[in-house]
Amino acid sequence: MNYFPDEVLEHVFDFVTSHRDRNSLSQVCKSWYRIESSSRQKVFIGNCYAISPERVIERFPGLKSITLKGKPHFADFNLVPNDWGGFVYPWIEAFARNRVGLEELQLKRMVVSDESLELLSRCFPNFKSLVLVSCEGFTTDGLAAIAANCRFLRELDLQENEVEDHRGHWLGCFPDSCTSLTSLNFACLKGDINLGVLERLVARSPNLRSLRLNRAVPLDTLQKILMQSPQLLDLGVGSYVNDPDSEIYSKLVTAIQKCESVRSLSGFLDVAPHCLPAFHSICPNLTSLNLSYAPGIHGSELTKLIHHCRKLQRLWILDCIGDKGLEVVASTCKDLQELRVFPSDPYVGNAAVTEEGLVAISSGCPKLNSILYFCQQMTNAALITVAKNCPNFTRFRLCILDPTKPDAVTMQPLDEGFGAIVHSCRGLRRLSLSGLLTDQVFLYIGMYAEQLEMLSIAFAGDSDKGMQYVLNGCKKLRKLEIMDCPFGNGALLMDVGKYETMRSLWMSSCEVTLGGCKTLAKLMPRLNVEIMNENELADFSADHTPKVNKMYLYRTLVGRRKDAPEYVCTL
Amino acid sequence: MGRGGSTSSSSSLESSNYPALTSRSSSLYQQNRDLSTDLRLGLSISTSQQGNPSIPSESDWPPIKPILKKELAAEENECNSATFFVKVYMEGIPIGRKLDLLAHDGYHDLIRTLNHMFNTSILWAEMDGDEHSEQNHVLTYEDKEGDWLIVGDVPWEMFLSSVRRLKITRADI
Repeated sequence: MNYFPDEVLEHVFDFVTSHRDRNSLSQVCKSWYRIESSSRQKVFIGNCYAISPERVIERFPGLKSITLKGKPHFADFNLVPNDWGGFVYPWIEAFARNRVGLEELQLKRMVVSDESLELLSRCFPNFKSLVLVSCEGFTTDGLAAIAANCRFLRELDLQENEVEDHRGHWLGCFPDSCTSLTSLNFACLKGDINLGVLERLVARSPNLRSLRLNRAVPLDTLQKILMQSPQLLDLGVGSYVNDPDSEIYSKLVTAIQKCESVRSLSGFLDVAPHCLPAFHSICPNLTSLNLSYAPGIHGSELTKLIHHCRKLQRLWILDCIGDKGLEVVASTCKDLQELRVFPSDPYVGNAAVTEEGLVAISSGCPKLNSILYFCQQMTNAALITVAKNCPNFTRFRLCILDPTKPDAVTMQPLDEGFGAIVHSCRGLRRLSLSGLLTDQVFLYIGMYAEQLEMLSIAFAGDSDKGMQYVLNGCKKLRKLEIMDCPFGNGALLMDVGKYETMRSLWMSSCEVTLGGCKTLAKLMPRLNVEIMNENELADFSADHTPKVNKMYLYRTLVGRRKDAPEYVCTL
Repeated sequence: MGRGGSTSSSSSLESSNYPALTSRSSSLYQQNRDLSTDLRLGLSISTSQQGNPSIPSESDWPPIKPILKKELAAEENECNSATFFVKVYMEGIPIGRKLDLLAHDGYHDLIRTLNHMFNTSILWAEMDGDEHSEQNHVLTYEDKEGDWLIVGDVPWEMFLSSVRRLKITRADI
């Protein structure tokens, strides 16, 4: 290993791109650590509070591209109160101060202020790509700064963010000289867009490959845009309401037929389903279809569309497709790898699919490796069949809308069904459970889920043993999130060293007490154990300390954070 | 609940005898679907959280992103017509009437309409003691479990989410 000069090693390392592999490289020996660190350009930080920006810059002086994640995953479901944290400003400010040559920034679940976007747009002349996923805290004014100042911007991708919309001027801030856009996604914006500005922007972006529009963009603009950009690979349709007999509609049909490169389709935020046949000509080329924001498409229109999509690898839909619709998917989409079925009626708690749809998919689509399935009910028999049909699952997430529902036929817990899944799917990395579940399912998970990295549990288990089986058995566990389970201090304190091998642990509405958390924090100084106190009332438990409502702990090299709000206490 | 002490008998994961996934489960599902329409119409006008106590509060469950939840709720509100018609029968009269519950803003309003519709005085849960003697009829309703209950005991929104039909019977009990 000492035989090669540094440049050669560096060149070899260039071929190693995954951050995990690069982490492994850096642990081989001191000189590999040095070379790897100085040459790494792309850095992934799974928890922005695990490390400080200064230390990241110090270690990776060649940093050009960074991914940062902020709030814990359960923040997606309103379990984390506002202003908990995850602010990106200190990072951008540190990068600016240290003259990092930042080109790409990807953020997930972070708070992004307009000031940060403004700073970002001014301090990094080569900045090319901004991807914001499930972020909040900014307005279209921040976007205007990005548009106006980032001269070489290629990618602006906004996915499911909460953005305060000050109505549309931001698009006009792209200067006429900006012709470098390859990807523009503003589907999550609620406000109006200047349509003429949009058309001109698209017209001067010959490299545009991905375009996702918001609901303010109507059919006739879509048609004009598609005529300009038949080279698109990924299209998000905005508003799709028009009269199928109109001239605009027939122009749209012509425009769509020219788009032979489109592989990914999404959107349809407002839809008149009888206009969908216009897309049938590109359906045979689609590998990815996302209709999860299109509750206006039902039944037969949906299945008609799917009938044409024989090459689909990824499908995200609403449960109004029904079990019968899933059978159509199973017989049509033989290459399907990823399926997500979302509930179209989440408030009422009724889903339109059952275990039958899942079984149909599993038998028709042998390449299936990733599923998220919201359903009305499930049975052990169905899960056992699914496990047999699809041993290649890497991600398996099941959500029964009544979270403690037993096997719908036998009324037994669903332990055996999930046990079959973990037993059969040796490569399973992510698992979410629901339904009536006892400690037994955790015994199975601990025994068989050797590759499991992320586990989400709600309303399951009988005792501390459940959590203990998981902590003992799952050697590769990185993220564990638990809500409303009877796991207490016994489980929490069983193997405190385990938490330093993990990114984070979330426990809410469980049986852990303040005393238990304090003990843990004392034993493990390199963990931040955060308690969120929102209510005055608290149950007292056997050790005479109150039960903790929400606990979030994570390993960190930089100690307690300084930006926590009042209701968060780091022990 | 998952915390119950149910025992799982077999540790074997291989099993060859399963109940067939047949029409039984799908008919169960169909029944749920019919009732769900009533439920949905009832709940769509209410912001209060009621119903099955084992389902957690609206903000926690089901675990989908708020932005998607909002989109679907918006669509739901647009789709639903604001009517909820139920059948009303008076004892002794074979032909019933139909009444839009959502056109009324509470029990008092409903009783007034019924009194008018059936030309009678109707007794329900909230009436004062000394009015009893003048009432000719009692208003009852069938809930989603098939039980007959007197109208007026539960909050209006809860009533809307569980009522299936109304019956007016003679008050000579």
